[in-house]
Amino acid sequence: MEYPIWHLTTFGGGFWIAVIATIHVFVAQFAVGGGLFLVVTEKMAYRTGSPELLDYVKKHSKFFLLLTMVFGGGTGVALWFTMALLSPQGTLVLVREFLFAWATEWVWFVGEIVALLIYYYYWDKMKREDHLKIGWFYFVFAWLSLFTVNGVVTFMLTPGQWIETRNFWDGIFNTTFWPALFFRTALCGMLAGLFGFVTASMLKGEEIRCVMVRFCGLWTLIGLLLVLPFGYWYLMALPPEQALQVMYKSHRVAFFMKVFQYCAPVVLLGSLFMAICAPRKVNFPSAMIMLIVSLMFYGSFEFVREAGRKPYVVWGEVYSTNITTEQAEKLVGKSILQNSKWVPENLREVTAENKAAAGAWLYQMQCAPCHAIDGPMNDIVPRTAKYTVSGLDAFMSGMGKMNQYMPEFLGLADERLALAEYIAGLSPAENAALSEASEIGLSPASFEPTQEYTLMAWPLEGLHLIVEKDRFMSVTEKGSVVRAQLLLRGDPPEVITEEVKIICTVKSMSKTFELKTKDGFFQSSPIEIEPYAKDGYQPLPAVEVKALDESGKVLASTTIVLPVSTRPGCNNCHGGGWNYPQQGGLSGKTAEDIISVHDRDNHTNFNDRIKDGGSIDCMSCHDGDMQLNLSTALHGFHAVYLSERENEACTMCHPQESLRGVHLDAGMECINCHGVMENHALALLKSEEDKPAARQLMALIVPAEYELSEINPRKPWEQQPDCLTCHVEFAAPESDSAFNKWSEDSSGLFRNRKDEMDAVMCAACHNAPHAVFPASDERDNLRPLQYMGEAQPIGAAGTCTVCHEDDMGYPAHHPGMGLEE
Amino acid sequence: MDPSTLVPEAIGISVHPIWPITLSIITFSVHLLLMNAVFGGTAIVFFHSLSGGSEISRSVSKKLPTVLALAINAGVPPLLFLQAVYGQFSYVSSILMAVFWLAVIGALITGYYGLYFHNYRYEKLSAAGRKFMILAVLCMISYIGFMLSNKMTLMLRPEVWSEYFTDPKGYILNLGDPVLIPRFLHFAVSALAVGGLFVALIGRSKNDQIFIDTGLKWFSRSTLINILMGLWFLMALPKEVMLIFMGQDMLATVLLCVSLVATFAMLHAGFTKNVIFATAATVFIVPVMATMRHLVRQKYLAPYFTLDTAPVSGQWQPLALFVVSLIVGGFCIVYMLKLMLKADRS
Repeated sequence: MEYPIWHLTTFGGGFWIAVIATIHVFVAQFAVGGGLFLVVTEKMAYRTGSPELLDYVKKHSKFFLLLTMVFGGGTGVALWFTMALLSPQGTLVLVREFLFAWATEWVWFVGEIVALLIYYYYWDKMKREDHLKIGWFYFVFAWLSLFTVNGVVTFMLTPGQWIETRNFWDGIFNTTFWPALFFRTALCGMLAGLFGFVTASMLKGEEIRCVMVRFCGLWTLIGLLLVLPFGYWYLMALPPEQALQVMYKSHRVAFFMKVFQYCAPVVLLGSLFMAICAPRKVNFPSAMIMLIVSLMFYGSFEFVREAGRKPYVVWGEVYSTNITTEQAEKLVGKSILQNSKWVPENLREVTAENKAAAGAWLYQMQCAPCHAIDGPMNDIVPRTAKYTVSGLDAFMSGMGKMNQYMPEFLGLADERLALAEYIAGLSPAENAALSEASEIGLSPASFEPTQEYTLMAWPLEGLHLIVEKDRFMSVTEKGSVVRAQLLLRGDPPEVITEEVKIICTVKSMSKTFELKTKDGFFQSSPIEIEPYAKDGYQPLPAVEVKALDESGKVLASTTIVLPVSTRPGCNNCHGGGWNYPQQGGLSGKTAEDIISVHDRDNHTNFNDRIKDGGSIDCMSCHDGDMQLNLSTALHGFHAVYLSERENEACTMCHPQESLRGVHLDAGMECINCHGVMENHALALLKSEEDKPAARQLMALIVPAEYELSEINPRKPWEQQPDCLTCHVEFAAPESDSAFNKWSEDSSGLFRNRKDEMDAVMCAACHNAPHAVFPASDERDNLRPLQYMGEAQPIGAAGTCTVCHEDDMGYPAHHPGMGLEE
Repeated sequence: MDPSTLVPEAIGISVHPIWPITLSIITFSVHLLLMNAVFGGTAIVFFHSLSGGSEISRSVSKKLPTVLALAINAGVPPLLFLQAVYGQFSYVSSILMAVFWLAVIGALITGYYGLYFHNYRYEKLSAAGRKFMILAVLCMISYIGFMLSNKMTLMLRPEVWSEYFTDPKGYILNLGDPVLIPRFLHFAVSALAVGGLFVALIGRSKNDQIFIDTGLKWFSRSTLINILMGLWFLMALPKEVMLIFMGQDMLATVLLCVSLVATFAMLHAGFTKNVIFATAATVFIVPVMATMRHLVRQKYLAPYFTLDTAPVSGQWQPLALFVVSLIVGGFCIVYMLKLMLKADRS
């Protein structure tokens, strides 16, 4: 915000700092341990009177000087340069708070250099005891450097009380100061041994080589055996929030943890082998291999430790994006392009013309500090390849909340979208295009004014959404259900449930199902119908429903559609395209990604279960009992990513064709009845507030236009928005918002309710929810067209003779049937 | 575009900025003396190696790596204290020229090893090899110096920072600044003078008159040329900055006069072959020049930042820690040097 950003792509993502810091610290720590190694070995040479040993120490000191003073010193300056280039704001916090700690460290550095130069250039010129004294001075100065720098480095990770006190000493002697100091001191000893192998392996005399290899092995082993418990202490000393980050939150951590786990035994066994079993076989290549493995061992530890600092560069003070927490607070709800100093004037506001350039600039501001483009460090391209633009946009909305290792996106929604488009453009888009529905023509069944019966049939759901991948993952319940009521026409008409049989024939499946008698209606078992046909994608397949008497004679028939979709928007974020290109269906890759995310965030082992031939049925755990109800879990989790999106939040996952009823033509959307995503999710979560998972999610969601306390809890599927909230007394609606007033229980649901005579079901005349007559899609209107010749609720506007013999004067089913004066 | 809109907010400091500025001037002076000895020494070694090498080139090249080690070491605190007071300017210029700036490290490490290589393999290398080696080192040191001049001048010119919007990839240099070349040359020619002085000092410790004569020849001729460079530098400065030396700022004007007197003292010492006096005059003039450099910086940045507006937190204990470490470290270093001199004597 305050500083320009060095625009990097391939070598972005902190590449320079990672490389330079890892190498520098590796050599700098050798500079400490190696100093002690030199002086101890020199003393050993004097005590044993071994000229070969003394000669070795002299040669080793030359190697030491050239490596630590030249390379170590140079990379130390490089580290400063790089920090200032890549993280100026964070570096300046360190300068501001610890200016004189750095200056003190420089004093030790001067002492170190003076001692080392004298030590190296005055071999044989000084008295032995004086030379040893210089060696000891070197080691003490080097260790004091470590001591001082350790204070600042650990401060960046765990500033502890400094956050409140802003006191220099609180900053230096922070929570992890001591464990880190012990850890690094032990590491210094280990590195001294490992570097010692390198020079010892080049010794000509076999005997002296054996002695030195054994000696170096001892240093390595003792160092390593101390490094492990101190490293554990170090990680355990992290505050819980950061320890969790290290242990569970990031894929990267898992990778480096593995590297650490594999390298530690190699260093241990390798040095054991070198020191005890076969010191004579140690040669230069094997010593170098050990050194490289130890670099991986140590480097992986540093990466794991660094994970505990995410998303900050200085914990709690400066984000990795170079934005201070104070600046971030001020930026909430504001434009980052307008409030940053180093943004070109023509990009201050996102327009259609500058969108691509603005996205690229925003990338540098908010992503490049940690991510490369097609580069070695944290490459963003493979990490985001699975997302669509809207998926990325949603992901960025959830940053800093669900995945706390990343900072929150700062800026306006149009800036976020411009960034999403830029990132999406970095990887080839997965072909997620879908073909239009291609339904075959349908005409209503016939209706004779003289026929004895009227058959009402409808789908239980406005759209049955299938979210499953055959054999291994199932999210939704199986099958679509048909309901029906048979009415014997007359005055009054009679609901018939006995001595008749209702069957339905799904044309696309060429199968016939018999409906079972329920409480005044008939219901099919779930029919596993899919929207695929030879002619293309058909989400509104036809079903012919017939009422038969006991002899099999057809009493009445009707044709309806059984809406079904296999186009959930999971792949917006979980990738994988479609199971059937251009058609739909949850693909194996999408399912795998969902399972992986679940495993990562909830510590499940679904991937293993699937590899062992098992399958995952989400509903089997998410039953609202031990675990959150599935609807609560899905809406609660995804609301974190989909807030502030109005209806677009719904259509990210639910297909557009979910709403086809009269309300669509009236200009209404999902949110008119269900509320916006955040409120919708909070209502569900509140009904399960007794579960910790619900409380965790609630803490991450900010209600829109409501206080949390004002949102009424709602049990998924048992409670729904009530039609009568708007249609007061069945009258024309007075408002267009049904949110927050729920039916009391499942008996009050539109799908289960009957008229005021407790005879005819609401859906018999109005059709399934989300597709109520007159629906916007003519295929849904087959039944009113059959019975009334026009798309209206059955019986509307004086069409009583669909069931009655004569027109009626009194709206017996419910008020507001168009019969009132 | 108003350049002040690009200047980052000052981040604050624990004590009054006069402390880090004073420390910066002192340590920068030490750094300058050592660095110039390396830079100038390398140039002289190269010059001598053109004619096949001499005792001077052999003897000086032996000492260069050690002096470079100390020069790098002494370069740390001025840069640190600069960040503490002027970080909001210094970091911007680094980022604008990031590629060239980071390459400084590559040049530094390579040049450093180059000096060691040249020294350790002096006898084994052919004359051409030595020539090539020391030229490569000289190029690298010149590169570092030129980049430092770029950085230190670019940080003073927020009015050109908007160039970043057309080139944000770190390839901006301050080549359009008329001050850049005279400033760099002023430093580079000073390096030749100090390099010459370094040779003379080696000569004095060896009691070798050729070394002294050669060294002081470099010293006095370079100083003479440097008067012209200094004048060019002065005249190239923006008028409002130059005027601080013309009576507008008493301290700056006095320092300029003092430096002129010291320059003539240096010339006199050089021509009269007085190594000690030349050294004393040089050691005297460098902090004077460093202070003038600070005043120039202050004047350049006055429209954007003044020291009295720097936020100060008032924590004095860290400064005390530094002073204690300086005393303890100083005693230890003196003790070590005593041991070293004792060894030298024996």
